[in-house]
Amino acid sequence: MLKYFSLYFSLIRITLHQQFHQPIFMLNLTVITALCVAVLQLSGQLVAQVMYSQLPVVHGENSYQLHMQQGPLAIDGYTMLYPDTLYELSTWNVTANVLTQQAQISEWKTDNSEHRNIARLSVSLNYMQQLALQVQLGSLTSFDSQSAVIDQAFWQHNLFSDPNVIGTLIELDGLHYRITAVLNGDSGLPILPSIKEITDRSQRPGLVLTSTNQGKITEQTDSKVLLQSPDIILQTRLSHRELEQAVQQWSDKYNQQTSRAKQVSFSIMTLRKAIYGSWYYMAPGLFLAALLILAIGLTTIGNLCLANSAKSQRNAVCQYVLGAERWMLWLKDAWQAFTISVVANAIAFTLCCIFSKLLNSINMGLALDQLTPSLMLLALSIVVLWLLLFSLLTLPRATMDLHNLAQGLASSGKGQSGRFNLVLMKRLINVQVFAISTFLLLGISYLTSNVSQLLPLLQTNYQQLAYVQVHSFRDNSSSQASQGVLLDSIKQQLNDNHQISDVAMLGADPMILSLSLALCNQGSRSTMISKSYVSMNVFSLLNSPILAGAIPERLTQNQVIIDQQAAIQLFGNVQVIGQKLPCSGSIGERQVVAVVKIGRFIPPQISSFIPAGQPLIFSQFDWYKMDISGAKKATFLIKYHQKIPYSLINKITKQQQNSLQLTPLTTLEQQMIKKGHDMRLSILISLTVTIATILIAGYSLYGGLSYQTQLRQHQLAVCKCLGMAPFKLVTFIVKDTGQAIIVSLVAAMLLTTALDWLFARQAVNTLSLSITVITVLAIYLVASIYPSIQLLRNDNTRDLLY
Amino acid sequence: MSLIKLEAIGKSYGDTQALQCIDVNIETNEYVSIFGPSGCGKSTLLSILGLVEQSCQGRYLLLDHDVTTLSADQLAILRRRHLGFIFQNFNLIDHLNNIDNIALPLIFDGMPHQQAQHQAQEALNSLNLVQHGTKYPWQLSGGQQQRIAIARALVNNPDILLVDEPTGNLDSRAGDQVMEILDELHRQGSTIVLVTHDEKYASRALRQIVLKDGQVSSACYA
Repeated sequence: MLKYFSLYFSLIRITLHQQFHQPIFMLNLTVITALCVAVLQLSGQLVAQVMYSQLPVVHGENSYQLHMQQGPLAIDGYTMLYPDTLYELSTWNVTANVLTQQAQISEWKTDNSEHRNIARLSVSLNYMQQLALQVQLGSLTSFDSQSAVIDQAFWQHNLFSDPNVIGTLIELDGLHYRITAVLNGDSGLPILPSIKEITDRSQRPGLVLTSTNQGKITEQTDSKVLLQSPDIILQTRLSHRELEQAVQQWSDKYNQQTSRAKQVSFSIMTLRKAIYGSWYYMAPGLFLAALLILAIGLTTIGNLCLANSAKSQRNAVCQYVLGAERWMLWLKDAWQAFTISVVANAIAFTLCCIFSKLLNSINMGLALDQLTPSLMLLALSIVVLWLLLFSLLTLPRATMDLHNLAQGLASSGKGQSGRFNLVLMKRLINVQVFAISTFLLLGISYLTSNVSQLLPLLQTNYQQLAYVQVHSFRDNSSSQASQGVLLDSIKQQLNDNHQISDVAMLGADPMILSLSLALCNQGSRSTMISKSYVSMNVFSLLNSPILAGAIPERLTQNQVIIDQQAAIQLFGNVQVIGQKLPCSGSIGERQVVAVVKIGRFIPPQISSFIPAGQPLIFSQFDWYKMDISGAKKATFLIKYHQKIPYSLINKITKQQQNSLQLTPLTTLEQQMIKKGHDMRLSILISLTVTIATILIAGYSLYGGLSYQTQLRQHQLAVCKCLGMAPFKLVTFIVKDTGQAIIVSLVAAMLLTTALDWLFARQAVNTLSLSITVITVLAIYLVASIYPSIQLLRNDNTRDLLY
Repeated sequence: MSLIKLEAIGKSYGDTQALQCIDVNIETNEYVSIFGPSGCGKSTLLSILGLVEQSCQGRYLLLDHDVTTLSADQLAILRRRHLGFIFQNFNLIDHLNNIDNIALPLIFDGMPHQQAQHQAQEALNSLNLVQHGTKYPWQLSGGQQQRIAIARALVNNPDILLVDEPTGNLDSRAGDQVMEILDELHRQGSTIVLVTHDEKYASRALRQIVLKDGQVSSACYA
């Protein structure tokens, strides 16, 4: 035992010696490994966050939605089915957790003894604990059968944002409830679409949550019940397959017991699939980007390990001949992989912490406070396995093939012993150089074309930007002109208030937009675009990047501002100032005065209406001239100093006209998080991915090229001994390697331009091309000159002898 | 006692027959040189003797073990316990200092590190290289490196010392010094098999085996 311990210790000591004698190699390998682990960890965490953060349920990964499909069934049919179902479900697994909800219209008695109909959601007692609801006031922990939780809209509209609302008694359907909490505006409620349907359909501002009787849906045949949810949220530790089996069993049992003509069937779906918004679609893209970086990183690790193995092959052979068994050699390489992994993981951990802090400081609704141990373990395992694989790759050949053993003893370990195919290796490196140059080009193009434009978005405080909609013009009793005057007056009064920095007007209404959709013809192509009416200060309020032109104080009727998407789809590029929109109908042939980077989320309501990628154009907000019909709505986009000034806005609006109705004041922060259209996170992630790609690609390029130069050690020695001057030798190497790099660069440029044209990204420009060429050439020069100088400094007699 | 017994050993690389029907016996305390022109199969024969290469034909008995039946790891154990190697290009490990280089065979055999270093130091002392123990191989001259390699070959008290062109990379003075060390080792009882193409050095051995075209053309005693 002691003998083996001593042996292990000695072998580890030898390995450490070896590592200390190759500082550059070790540094490269460690940094690249750290980057790989960090990228894998961060992307995994981000994907997990993206997949689960929007889930309105705590432990969303274990949550399922149970849906009953039973054809046309009356509400009483559900009520018959529910108690049985709930009972059965609870017997499956102790951790099964059933949440129920039932939406209905209730009568609410105001303080003035006035009766109003309000939307009400009856939920089971565990509903509050299981859902990740965000509370603005009060607490959800004390929710019981006498409690009522109100949403922000109810609080703002019916209780006038009273800060002392907690504890107040309200009367619903003749029963008294105590308000225990006010939910945040977009707190993730409801899970099921039915509730939204109720609140929208009934046009009731606000929702009250009360408890059902002991967590079960009560027998309710009252006609006021609008929709009793046929879905049940289950939280269980059963696997998806087990749960499916259990549901099937229950379904069969139920159908056997009943003699209904239409059989009941159940389906389950993970709540993950219930996510709505771009995050859900962004996650696979992010994951792919991470995989791409990982692939480049792992290739580089592989290269470095192969280079090192080839270099140290003679040492391995020598030790084997001196009596080391193969496991000893493997142990040494395994130890090397382990030490590199430990150090790399420490660096990766630090990088992740820095990135998490950065992400959290921006406050975008995604928190990366804790690193997931399982994810760290996964990242570490992948990289360690890769390291091991490539560290050990050359050993079997070096030690098992005895013919190579003899050759290895006579060689100097230049990586050319045995059947090591130098030509193939060089070709592989050339292919890699080409691929990596392309990645570099793409990455640098993206960075140069986007960073300066996107940084203002990262700096914008969306917590202090909110929008509120005024909608009282549906009756058409007042003239359009008077409505316009009213709006102007409200805007002026808001602007004059010291709590408010700036106010912009948006004509953002899905109805208006649908009327403004137009077909623009560009050659043989037709493009559907959407028009929005905005006051010109909206762009400065949002720090919206301007790609071309300038935002005027006011647009004339013949002028228009378009977003990048519209510019690319209509004209093929963004430099289109002065050109006329090739549109007909309500848009007409207007002249473009500015191109903004992102138009999509400027009017908040638009984001929920317009599909991703749909081009947008902006006209001057002018109530008199807006080509709208039917119901009208105007949106105030308000920038305020500190506290959200809802009561102030409400007061000013009511002063102007008492019948005006305001929607809840929603900050852009809430809007973006709810809709999953948070550009900042997309920007941050894409920038991080890009920087990581550039770093790793740079490292890879250096590794590949320097290894290629190393392979020429013997050739260099011969040339030197034949009388070639050192400077000529270096030039010779640089020239030889340069052919590959030039061919790669040209091919990469062609490919990148083709990709750019194909996806109409407009990222590749002269600046990005120049930076890429300079970067690649700099890396290439360093990677070929430095190793060749190092080789020349060596004792070339030895190179020649071996 | 026969330390090495080769019976009809043959070795070929593809169509090239490197060795043909070699029969050699080497006894304890013998000093044998294998001599011949370049490409005659000397190094191949030494590789087979050193268990670095397997023969294609024939039987090889080392200390009465039929090595053709042994696994790669069993061969490694035999090498570190019974054989000492001295190469033309020294084959010292660059990243280990000289003491550690010398101690390698002992370390591989599981000897505690301190004890191995102590023994390596003694081997170093015996070759008058005391002051070079903490240096690295690349800090020494060729002759000094070869003496370190000799110390490494001797540190485990091998039954046979296999020496492959020990003077090939050295100047004549350093070469002579190395040969004197080998002579002295033989006087002290070591069994030495020397491969060389230099007749002057080959003649220092007590028995010369002359190879030509992969076959033993003559064998004579000094």
